[in-house]
Amino acid sequence: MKQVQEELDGVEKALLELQAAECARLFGPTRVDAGELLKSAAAAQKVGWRRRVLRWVPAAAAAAIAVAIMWSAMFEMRFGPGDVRTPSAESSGSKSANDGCDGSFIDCFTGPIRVVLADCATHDYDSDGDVDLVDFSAYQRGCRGITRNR
Amino acid sequence: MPVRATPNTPPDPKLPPPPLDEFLIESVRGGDAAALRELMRRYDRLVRYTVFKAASEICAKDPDWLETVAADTWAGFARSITRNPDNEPQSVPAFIVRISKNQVASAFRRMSRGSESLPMISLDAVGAGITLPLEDPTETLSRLELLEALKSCLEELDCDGRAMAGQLRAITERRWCDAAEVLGVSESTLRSRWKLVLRTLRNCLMRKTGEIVAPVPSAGDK
Repeated sequence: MKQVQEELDGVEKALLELQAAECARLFGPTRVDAGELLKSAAAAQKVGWRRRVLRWVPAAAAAAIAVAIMWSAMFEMRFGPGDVRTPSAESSGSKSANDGCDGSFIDCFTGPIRVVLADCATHDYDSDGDVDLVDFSAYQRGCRGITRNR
Repeated sequence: MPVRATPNTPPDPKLPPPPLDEFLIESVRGGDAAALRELMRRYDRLVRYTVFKAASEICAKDPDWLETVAADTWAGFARSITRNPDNEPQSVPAFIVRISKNQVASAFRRMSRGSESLPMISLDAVGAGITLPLEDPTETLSRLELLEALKSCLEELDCDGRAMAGQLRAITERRWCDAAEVLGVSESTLRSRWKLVLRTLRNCLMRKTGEIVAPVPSAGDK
């Protein structure tokens, strides 16, 4: 077949291409309405504008979260966590649950969301209305020996 | 050299000069459908031939494919022009060729995914149909003009010549016996008449386009 292609005349090759072109209806005009094309292009442009705006929403949300975290950290740094009591268990050597050294801390841990679960007020050592890492720090300091012994 | 996108006709001195492509593009951006129609009149042949060159086998199997991709190209052109007002194409024909090629590539992707209403042709056929389109719009149009001239030259042939052209497939595959039997002539007569047809067509092309289509070198030329 390749042999045949090589010995074809230039006009014969053009004739073959012309035959294929006529099968493909190459010589007719494309049936499109210019007015409709412009309308749909304008509609697509509107969608594009919305898409461009929406593209910034995740970035704005991330920036807002970052600002909130920074503001919270600055607030903590400025005003401090307040008085933090520690469980007295270390000094007394008691394994009493009164100071919270009974292993229930992890069930009460909520993080800095200003919520104290029921029966968890004992673990809110800094009295800031939640059981967070500040409370965990106090818990570690106060209950270290106790938990090791358990 | 400027690209002649429309068939070569001498300008009428009484008529005002046609608007430049850049002016038409500005008008399209302003929502002028007539300007887009004028651009389509100028370059639709370029779009269709670029698509055809990129996927000739698929186009020959399904003529609607060419129509769909050409329509998508014009939709893409309108979108691109209206979306980026600052993006002024350096050359409108080159810009259109690029959009056409992108649309062909998108159509191939849709076909390979099989999630489109485009005709399902086996991937082998898709692979076989992909040929590199000509990059230069001038070259593309020059080849298209040759085909158009050849089309009109065929109409100038006598009945015998046209009958032989009807047996093009058999003749180009050098199945002389088959073609001669269909035409009711001897093989040697067919061969000599075919040479005459080719010479007539070559002369006609030379007259219409000024292009010399080289004949196949015979053994005696070496």
